[in-house]
Amino acid sequence: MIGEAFDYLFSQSYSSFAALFACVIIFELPRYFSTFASAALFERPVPQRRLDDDWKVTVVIAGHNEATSIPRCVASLNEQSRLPDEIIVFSDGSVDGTEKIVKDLLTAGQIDQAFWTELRGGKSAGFNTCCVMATGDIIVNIDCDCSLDRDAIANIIRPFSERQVGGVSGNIQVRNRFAGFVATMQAIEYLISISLGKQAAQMIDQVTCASGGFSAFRKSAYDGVGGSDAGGGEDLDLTLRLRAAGWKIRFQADSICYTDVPDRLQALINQRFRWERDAVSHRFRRHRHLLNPFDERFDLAEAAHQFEFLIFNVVGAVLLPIYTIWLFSTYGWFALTVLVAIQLALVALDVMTFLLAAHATPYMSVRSLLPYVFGYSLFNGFFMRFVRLAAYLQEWIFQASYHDAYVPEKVHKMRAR
Amino acid sequence: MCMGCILVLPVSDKSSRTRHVGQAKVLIAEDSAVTQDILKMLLEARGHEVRVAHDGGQALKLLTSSSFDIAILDFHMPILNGIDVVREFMARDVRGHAPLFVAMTADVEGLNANEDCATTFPKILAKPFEFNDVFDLVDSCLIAGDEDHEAEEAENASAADVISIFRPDNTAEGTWPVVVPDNKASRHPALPDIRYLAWPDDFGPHGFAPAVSRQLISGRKYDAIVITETCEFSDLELLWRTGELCLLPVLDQTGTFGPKADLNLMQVSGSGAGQEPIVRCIDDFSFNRLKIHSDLIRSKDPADKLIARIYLRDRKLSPVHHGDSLLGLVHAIALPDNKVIELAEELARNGLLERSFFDRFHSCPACQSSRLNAREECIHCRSGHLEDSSLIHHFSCAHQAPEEAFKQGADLVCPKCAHELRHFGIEYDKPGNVITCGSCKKASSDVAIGFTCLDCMTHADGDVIETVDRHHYRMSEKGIAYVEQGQMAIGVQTNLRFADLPLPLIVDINKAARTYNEDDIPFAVLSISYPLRHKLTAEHGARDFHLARSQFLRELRDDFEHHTKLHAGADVDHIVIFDAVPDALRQTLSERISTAQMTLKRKVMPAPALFGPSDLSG
Repeated sequence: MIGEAFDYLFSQSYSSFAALFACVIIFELPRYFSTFASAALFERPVPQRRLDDDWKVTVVIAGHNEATSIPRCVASLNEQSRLPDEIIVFSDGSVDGTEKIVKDLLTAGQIDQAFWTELRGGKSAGFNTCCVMATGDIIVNIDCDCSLDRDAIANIIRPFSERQVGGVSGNIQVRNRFAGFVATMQAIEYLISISLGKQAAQMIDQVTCASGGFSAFRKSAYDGVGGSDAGGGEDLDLTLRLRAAGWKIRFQADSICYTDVPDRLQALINQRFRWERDAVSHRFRRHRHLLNPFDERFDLAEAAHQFEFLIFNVVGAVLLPIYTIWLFSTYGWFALTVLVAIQLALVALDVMTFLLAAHATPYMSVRSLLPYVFGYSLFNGFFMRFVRLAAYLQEWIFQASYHDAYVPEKVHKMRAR
Repeated sequence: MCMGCILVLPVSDKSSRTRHVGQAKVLIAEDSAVTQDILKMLLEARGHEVRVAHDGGQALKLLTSSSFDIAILDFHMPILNGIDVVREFMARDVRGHAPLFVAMTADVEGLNANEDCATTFPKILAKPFEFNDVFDLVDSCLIAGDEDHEAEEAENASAADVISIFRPDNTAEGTWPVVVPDNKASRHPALPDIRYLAWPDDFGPHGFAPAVSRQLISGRKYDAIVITETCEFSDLELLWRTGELCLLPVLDQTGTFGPKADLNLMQVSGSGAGQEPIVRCIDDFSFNRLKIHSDLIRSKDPADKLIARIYLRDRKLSPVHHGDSLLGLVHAIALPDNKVIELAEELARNGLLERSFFDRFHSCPACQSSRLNAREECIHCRSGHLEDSSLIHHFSCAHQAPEEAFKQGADLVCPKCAHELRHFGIEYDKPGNVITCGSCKKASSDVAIGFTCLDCMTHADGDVIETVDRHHYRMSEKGIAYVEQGQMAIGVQTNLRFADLPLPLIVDINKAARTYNEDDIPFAVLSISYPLRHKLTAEHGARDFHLARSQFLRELRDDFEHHTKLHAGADVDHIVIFDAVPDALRQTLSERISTAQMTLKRKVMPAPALFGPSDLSG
């Protein structure tokens, strides 16, 4: 079938090619071209040593039931080339002994402040509490299960020398990349979408999410927009509000942070359902005014990323099953050959993209991931697109983001919609 | 205890002595522990070097082995009396370094009646005497060596040379409490007619009053210590350094001694019980004191004195919590508690006391005080100025901060979204607390624990401060045996003390020693004590133990192929083994002991100690 697919691919006229590969041409090629373009203009970051700075940097670690991961995270902070000036840890109603771990870290002098609550209030509340207590000029937010490269802090604070910068997103990569096929696919996805994707977005000032896993904020900017709001996807929400307030958001490719991704398919699906639900909830409910040209808060730059997400994520996911059905109704079982041909074309593009992403990501050796790129096209192009579609439908019909377990039910009931 | 001593200048070649006024080498031969202690203390305080002998034999040994400037000899001593000591010494042709012999006595007339004394000793000092007289005498003796006045002094040796004679104490010994007319009774009408030493009238921070010192040296007995004014426990250490005064009950008239007093006289007078509790307390002490072995009465080891003191009061040493004490506790012993604990631990290590947990105390690293202010402190600046407030979590905007940030008068208003919080549990909750330091203004959910010493103000963090366990102590069987039977009971007896031996035994030993000296025929003395006697008696009855002990001694004697003679005592039995080589016997002793016990229905668990001629010289 693959040989047949190749023959078919090379026998098409321009018009029939365009008709057959409409989905690819509309929903895939622009992204590839944008990344190619950014890669062409992108200069691989040169490793830099710590720069002298006058910032006081506060690192905040807030988490729920993270007894095992917090010590590792704190250890990596204390190994930084540019040590944080203050580390604050918040245990959000943990019941797994996190409180004791945090106390011990405080007693040992490895962290500077510690807070814990008996009741869980959600990540936003914990982070906000720490920011109230923080004395730093820059607040660095790290998920408990993350650990940092030695220069991560030094690098992530560097963009703040530009006064318009209110937030910087770190470069999050996968630590357990060989924990199974699912984890390996995510490692390639993170490499392409974060290292390369955010680099490309930054070139057109379209970094729209300073990741909640590892990011930094100017405290005055953070306080100015009221800090994190309740609910999931708070990192996207916060970034959109910072952008709306006029702050620039940067991506720092050489500020590398590692995290563990789900290594089981169901866990991944659950995670992505949550992410996608939160994304559409924030973009098209809370921040829908950004798509309304008649709203006084309308801004072309903000509308651009909203449209980009709407077309390439939402519409692309919705049209994929329609396109597939159309193929099978038109060509019968020959549609399979067409799909394979499309996949072959995408593999070629993905390999090139992967190589560009590898080039764009400093400090990381990713050659061992290359053989898996051939599976990545199928995984990301088809499977994950269906996952996204299911998440969008669930959110549209059930408003499921207001019920997930990431946020306590008491917060779900009261948070703004 | 002799009734007196004689201080006599010897007829010797004084010119050969090396003496310096103000610094003499003095021998005190005296069997009274009180007299020993006081004379030693006073003379050493004046810079003299003092050695002490408990009996005439030991005095002679010291005189022949060391050089002294002055020898103060008790007239009536065990083994050899004062005259015999001088005579033996002079007979050994040691005139080259003979000391100035000084004898003391309360029986001056008796001494003068002895012609040998009159000719041998040039001067007599009667007890009780003024210490200044002793000092003057010592100084004059030293000077006399330089001025060559010995002959004149020897000629004048008579009763006329008695420096001072005080009324001898005619009170019979061993009758406790002794009721005597005493002017103190009028000073403290609450007290019955007893003889007591009062703080601070009779002894104070600077020692004993001169009159009391004279009485102590004369062998005066006391019934009790009475505290009439507040004092430091360390002031009473004087009692522990002076004979057996530490074994007297402490009666507290001030009410400030607490558990350290054996009787609180204020409570007694308030109870309306009259003098009966006082008399009973003194009776109890004196009765128990009679059971204490002379080893401990004589001992200079403060641990020995402590265990004897514990024996007197319930055989237990139980601390009680007490805020006035640096250590947070006090023991019913009139000594500083750190000293009590140090000694009690030593006794526990030796198995004489058994200890059980009392309490655990935090201890100041600088001064060991347990009077500490324990408190929660700021983890940053260690200030105790902490304020606890609730965290408020506003659900709808996720703002979470201390309650003060939300307070606007009586209302709660979110500082982030200006929404008024009206309904707890629906709009907001209080998920936890945060502690803010009033000094450095920093906040935390955690606090540190810190200690500040109230005595020296040293600060210590809670995670580094030391803790120390304190214990109750009770006397073990071994400890009781030690107090009642002396060193032999615990198998640590290293030599025989003739003063403790019954006369028939001494006669036998002397006979064997003469044969040894003249014919070189060796002998041995086997001392057998029974450390577990009380326990075995309690378990099986006194008769049972007595029969077993008698049978054991018979079996043991039969086992020796030598001629033996048994001297059965109350606590200790002795077997004199004639014509026996001690070293050879030692090798077979444990086997013989085991064999002798094999046929016994009840084992008597003996503790044997074997002595040869070389062990008996002291």
